[in-house]
This record gives sequence, C-alpha cells and structure tokens, in this order.
Amino acid sequence: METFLAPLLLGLGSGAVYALFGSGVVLTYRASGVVNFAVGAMAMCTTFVFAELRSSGDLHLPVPGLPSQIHLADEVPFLVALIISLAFAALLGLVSYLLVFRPLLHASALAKVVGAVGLMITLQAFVVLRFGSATLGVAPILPSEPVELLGMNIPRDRIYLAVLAVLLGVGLWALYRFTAFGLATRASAENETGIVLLGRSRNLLAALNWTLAGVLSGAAGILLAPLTLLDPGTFTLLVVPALGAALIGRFSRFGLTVAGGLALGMAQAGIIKLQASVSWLPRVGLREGIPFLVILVVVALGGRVLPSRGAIVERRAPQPPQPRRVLASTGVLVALGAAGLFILQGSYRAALIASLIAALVCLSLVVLTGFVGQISLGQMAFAGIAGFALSKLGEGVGIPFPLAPLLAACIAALAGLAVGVPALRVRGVNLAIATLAAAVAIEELVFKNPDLTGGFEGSKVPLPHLWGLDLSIGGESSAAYPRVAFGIFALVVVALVGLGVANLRRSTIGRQMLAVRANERAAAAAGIDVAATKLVAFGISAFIAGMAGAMIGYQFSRVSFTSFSVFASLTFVAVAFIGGINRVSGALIGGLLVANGLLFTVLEEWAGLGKYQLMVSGIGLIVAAALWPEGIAGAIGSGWARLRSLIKAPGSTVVEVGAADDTGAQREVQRESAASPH
Amino acid sequence: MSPLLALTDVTVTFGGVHAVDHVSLDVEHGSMTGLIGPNGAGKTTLIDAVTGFVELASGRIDFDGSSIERLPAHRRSWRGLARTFQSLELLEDLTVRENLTVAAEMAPWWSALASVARRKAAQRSEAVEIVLASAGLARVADVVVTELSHGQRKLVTVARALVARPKLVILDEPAAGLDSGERGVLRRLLVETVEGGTTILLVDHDMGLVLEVCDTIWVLDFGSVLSAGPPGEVRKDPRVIEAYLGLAEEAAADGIEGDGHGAG
Repeated sequence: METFLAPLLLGLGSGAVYALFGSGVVLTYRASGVVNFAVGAMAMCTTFVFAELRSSGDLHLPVPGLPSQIHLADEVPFLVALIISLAFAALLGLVSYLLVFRPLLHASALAKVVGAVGLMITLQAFVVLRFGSATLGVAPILPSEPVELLGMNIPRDRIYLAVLAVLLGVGLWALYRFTAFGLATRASAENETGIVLLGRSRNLLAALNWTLAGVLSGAAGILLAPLTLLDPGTFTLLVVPALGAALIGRFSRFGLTVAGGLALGMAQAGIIKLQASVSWLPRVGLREGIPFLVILVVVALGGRVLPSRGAIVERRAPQPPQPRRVLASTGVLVALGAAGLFILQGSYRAALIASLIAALVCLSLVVLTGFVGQISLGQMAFAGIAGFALSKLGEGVGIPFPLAPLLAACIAALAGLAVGVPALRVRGVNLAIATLAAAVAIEELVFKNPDLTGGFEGSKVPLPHLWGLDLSIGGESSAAYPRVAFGIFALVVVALVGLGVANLRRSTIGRQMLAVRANERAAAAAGIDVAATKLVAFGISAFIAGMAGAMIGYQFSRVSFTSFSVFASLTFVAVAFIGGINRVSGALIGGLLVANGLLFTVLEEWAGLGKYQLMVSGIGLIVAAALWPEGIAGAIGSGWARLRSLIKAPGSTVVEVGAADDTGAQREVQRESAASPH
Repeated sequence: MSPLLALTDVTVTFGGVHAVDHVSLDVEHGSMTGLIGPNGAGKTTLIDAVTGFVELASGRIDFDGSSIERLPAHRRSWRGLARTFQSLELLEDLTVRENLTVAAEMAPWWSALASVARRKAAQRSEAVEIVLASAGLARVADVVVTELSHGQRKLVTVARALVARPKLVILDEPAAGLDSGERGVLRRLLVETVEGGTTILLVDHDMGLVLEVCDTIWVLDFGSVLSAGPPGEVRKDPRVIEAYLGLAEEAAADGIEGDGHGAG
C-alpha cells in the first residue's frame, strides 16, 4: 500500500501545476471564448525571465526598440525576481489578449485555434532565439525536505503546491461566484449582447481576465521549474495536461479543473511506478499517454464539451474556390519545378526538394481543414506512421519500391480513419485539442520507443529504384547529393496529389465536403452522410500525409522521430495557413515557407536570417488568423481578380464582384457591408 | 392504399417534458396536407422526429411502406423524404446553384468519391435549372446565399428540398417573412409540386396559407393531435377555435400575447 501511495503523492507536485495551468485556460475561455493553446508557452517565457533574473541578474525584454536586456543587479533577491517576473507575466497576458485574441473575438473557431497556435509558436521561437534550446536547472523555491505523512516520506514542496492549487481554486471560485467582476464575466460568457446592454465593457473584462490568467500560468511555471527541468519543448507541451484538466472542469468550473489537474498528476506518477514493476508495459511514453486518454474519454463521451457562447456574430472560415485552368497551371508549375531542380545546386536544390515534400503535408491539410473544416494539430503523426511503416515494409519484409510507400500511406490512412471515428463526435476546437493530445501520445508511446523505431538513430529506409532507374536522393556516391532524379520523383508525386486534390474539390464528394463544412444539419437533410464524408476526408488526408512521410524517409534515407514531432505538426499548420489552407496553390506556397525550404534557405544564405523562420511563422500565423483567412494564395487571388475587373469594367467593380468572382475574401467584405439583420 | 407517411403513437421527450405526446397522423399520397398549431405546439419537433433529427422515445414512423424511425437523417432523405428548416440552415458560402446541386446529386459517399475519377466538373444538372427557374431564382443562381434577402433565402431552402424530386417534402413555415410577391411564387411552386406528383406536408402556425391550399389539415396543441379533417371542418371545430383561433381573437381583443404556451 505504502509503495503505491507514495508515488501518487509525489505526483501532487506536477498535478498542482496542471491545476493552475488548467485554471488559467478556464479563465481565458470564459472571458473571451478562446482556448489558449499557448498557456504552456506563456508560462515558459515568464519562467525563463525569472530564471535569468536569478542566475545572472539580467532582465530580458522582448520589446523591439528597447535594449534586449538590462542588467539589474549581480544578485536579485527571490522576492524581487518573483515580483518582476509576475509583472512580466501579467503584461504578457494583457498583450496576448490585445494583439492576438481581441481581433479574433468574432472569428471562426478555426481562426481562434490558429491564432492561439501562432502565439504558442511565436513565444517558443522567442525563447529559443533569446535563451537557446538548452535545458536550465532552477534552484528550489519551496523547501523540499521530506515530511512524514501517513508513514511515508514525501518532499514538503509537493504538499505545499497541492495546498496552493486548492486554495487558488477556491479563491477563483469565490471571485467568480461573489464579486461583481466575476458575475459580469460569467454573464459575458453566456451572452455577449447581454453584457453590452448591462453597460459593462466586455473588452475591459476580457483584458482583466487575460492578465489574471497570465499571472496564474507564470506563477505555475516558476513553481514547476525546480521540479522538472526548464526547456522550451517540455514546457510548451504542458498545455496538453492543462487542457485535460480544463476539459474535466468543462471549461467553466474551477473546482473540477483543480481536482482534475491534481488527479492527472497523480495518475502520471502512479503509471511511472507501474511501468517499473509491470514487465509488459511499454517502457516509454505512458506518462504522456495519460492526458491523451483522459482528453479522449472526456471529449468523445461527453459530446459537446465546450459550452457554446452566445456570440454576436461569428465570421465563417473562407470557402475553397473552384480551381480553374488546372491542367494548364499544373503544366507550367511542373516545368518551372523541373527547371529549378536542374538549375539549382547543392543546398538550394535540397531546399526545393524539402519544399516539395512540405507542400504534400500542406495538401493533406487542405483536404481536411480547407474542404471539411476539421482541425488537425497532429498531421505529422500520420506522416510518421507511414514513414516507420515504410521502413518495416521495405527493409524488414522486403516489399519492392512503388508498392511499399503506397502500402505505407494506406496504413497511415487507416490510422486517419481510427482517429476520425472518435472525431465524429467532436467539433471545432475540441477536435484540435484531441488531435494535439493524440499526436503527443503517438510521439511519446510509439515514435520515441527505441524498440519500435530505433530511437534517435531511427530506422533505415531502402533506396527507391524503379525499372532500373535510381530515384534515391544520394545515389551510390554522396558527391551527387541531392540528385535531380529524386527531385523529379518528388515533383511528380506533388503534381499528382495536387491534381487529385483539385479534382476532389470539383467532384461530388468535394461539394459534399463543403456542404458538411458549411452546415451539418442542412447537409444531412440534403442526403449527405455527414459521418462518412468526414471519415473519407480523414482517410484521404492521412493518406496524403503518409505519402509525405514516405518521401521524408527517402529524403533522409532513414526515418526518426525528430521529423514527426508535435512541433513539426504545428509548424506545418502554420505554413499551410499562411500559404492559404483552402486551395492547392496555397499548399504550394506553404511548402516554400518551411524551415529548410526554399525561401528561408535563400534568406539564410544571403542574409543569415534562417533562424527567424519559426518566429516569422508564428507571427505570420497570428496575422493570417485575424486578417488573411485565405493566406497568401487568397490575397494574390483576390488582388488579381480585382485587377482584372478594374481592367474589364472601370467604375463598376462593386456590382460585378459578387456574381463574377468566387474568391471568398471579397465576399467577406461585401457581406459585412451588406449584412442583413437575420 | 396505405398512406405515404404514417405516424403511430410517436412520442418525443426532452428531459421530462413530452414535446410530442403519442401523436398518430397520416399523410396521403399526392395530397397537400397541413399541420398547424400555435407556437410551441410541437410542430418542429414532430418534423425533426420524422426526418431523423431527434430520436423517438416511442412510436413508429412508416414512410412509403417501410418503417424509417431507425434510419439516420441522410438515409431518410435517400428514400425520398425532404424538408426545409424554419431556421433556414442554408449552406452558407455556397452559391444558390451549388446549394441545389449538392441536394440534387443525392449521392452516397462511395459514388461521390468515385466521381473524383470521372471528372465531370462543370456539368449542370437539368433538374437544378428547372427548379431554379420555377422558384424565381435563376437570376441569382450564382450569388452566394448569404447575400440574398430573407425571402429569397427562404425560397432557396424550398427549392433545395424539391430539387431531388422527393416523394414527400415537409416545409416548416415556408411563408414566414416572405413579401407578397414571394408568397405568390411560393404558392405557385407548391401547386406545381403537387401536380408533379410530390406530396407536401405544410407546417405553419399561421393558418392563412394552410387553409388556402391544403386538402387535409392536422391541428397540434401541447404535443397532441387536437383535430383533423378538411379545412372547412377544422375551421369550425370548437376545440380548434378555443385553443388556436380563440387565442388570436382574445389577443386581438385585450392585447394579450397569443402564443408561446405549451412544450417545445
């Protein structure tokens, strides 16, 4: 008994942190209807500021125009450091609201998720640029000498943390239950119009709540740092258990959220103990699997988890336009791509190839997110499944070239269907949460398991040969790397998939996907099988992502988990969105924007700017979410259309736009100006 | 010949409330049947139950000779059961023609998926063009539905329900919010539809249009059938006058709101 209870109590420490993060998530959801995926990243920023103050006495300021760091003193006392850091956290919360989430108040659920992910990527990039991605140790804050409890020795700080979390939970509950501020926030969560009629400023309320949430998560981060190690990746992904706790609290109840967080922490500690004593359990990843399991159960069984808010207007995500002149543009682009592959050398050619493969991942998102409106934050998990399957099929079983990658992509498609089935009960942001959690779980349980995938080393992928043609990237001698033949191979794959996706949009199933995305009730009444349509989309999307995974395998001649991390998934969402998530051309632009892709390779070689890719993606994503829902491709498309109509009929553009054009951006503008009261 | 649609003892509950309480009613082949009742009488819940948008607590629904109460909504639609929604439920961001095309295709997912390979892109369906013309929507066929007036949107929902040539179409308050011109178009469309062999179940809380065009009328109140028969009889039924028409008179007389009672 004792041996089992002790680890559970140890888990109180991280459980308390999940509880605090979870409460922060609930706070901001109630205040502004945004699920803050960046809660872990915000806490990480504050914690880095705190750690740096304590160790070097430097205050880091992420504000352009000000000196990047100020040396305050050689020795900053704990309390001073804490107060400065929490002030920083408060400011971070406030600025996040004003710059990122306020512009998204009436945006579509998709845009809100995208904005939050953008903030998460931006903060992550800031910390990596400023502090590096190394791990910091932080000196203990709370006394940790063991205390004897129920006959066991438990470090004191865990108990303190748990008590703190519970007190905070009670405090927040009381704040929302009994004060005018709390009542107004609750009212604004129920009904935006009502609160405006009551004469309260929603803006002020939301800003206050975001500030409070910033402080809360900052404090949680500072308290957590000594218990684990402080590094950008781990901290940012704490959002997953935090979302688990918030889901248990149904995004509205602080008591349940705190209890859920504590329970999650304890369950994680318990499973680690079990892992050590039960031989058949996997050796890695179970800890990270627990929040996923909780999220899946709550989300899939609970149906509509997030209470919907009475928003005044909710703008819709832009509609995918009908592709035009598909064959001609494919021809031109393939010719351009082929010319590029022959002309470019060395790292530039490698970058073009990387962009082609990245475009495949973006295409998979066009089908799922652009056409059907389903959000996936774990797309690279499908790519990874196909990559590792390719290694096993090709190297292990010995299945020959064109068959092995196709089979591998089919396996990824099956995985897509497996994710899709529970996703049928889940919509919008809930789906984003579930896919993020699933991606973390797959990465930790499967991809990082050295027995399955070869760990850091990865596993070998056989060289692609077709009818005596060597399509591999390296060939026999490494001097030829990267070979044009592989580039052409990638180009052909992208062209075929791109044509397929364009055709999909014009086909009956494509129209059905758009109908499902627009209105599920109406779609069902019109004889569309909503569930099947979504599943088809999940399957196709995962198949395309799987093809990308196989290509990544061929690109490196091996597959390892580093290519398929959750962060890779998130950055692909970013570039796909910035490029334009609703059309094929957007996916191609997205491909150019990835870290090792063509644009940033050029920027790196010419100006040494390559390291800013993550930062640019994050900020670009925030901007795209609020201002450019159709990405660069959409902006080019509507700019071009406007130009043409100007040339055709000067002075009569306004009348003509709606009828002649099918670019959603213009419609958006028109609709807003001519919005009817219904 | 058995009726096209037959409800037997249909009950729908929300929490403890019986929104629809042991309702049995028939809709005959080729008829234009009306279903009326004050606001909150359970009309929309009854339509949702028939078309598969809420589950039955008990009872049975037979459509065209087989029981359908266990089928999901889209399969009922494949059998020839179409509807409109009081809340419009248009496919926003799609044009009028696209709204109709999606409904006209009526394709199960496997054949819809196979169409990717067939590449029959910009082909226009004749059924869509005919309905567009008779609903007076040909002029706005390529306009995105969110840009239309309320009345035009309403006509789009009716046209969308008719375009797949269903056996039965259930219209939920199609006349509400139409101007007199649009009302005329709707009336003509309904008459043409019945002449073309489609049965109509017209649901409204406003008796005007229903009494005008329907051959049989069912009256619903508090989730139960109050009265049924040809318009002339229903109009004279004292229970209907008391529960329904009476309320309107009372309301007119002493300014009390005449609606909003009952479940639903």
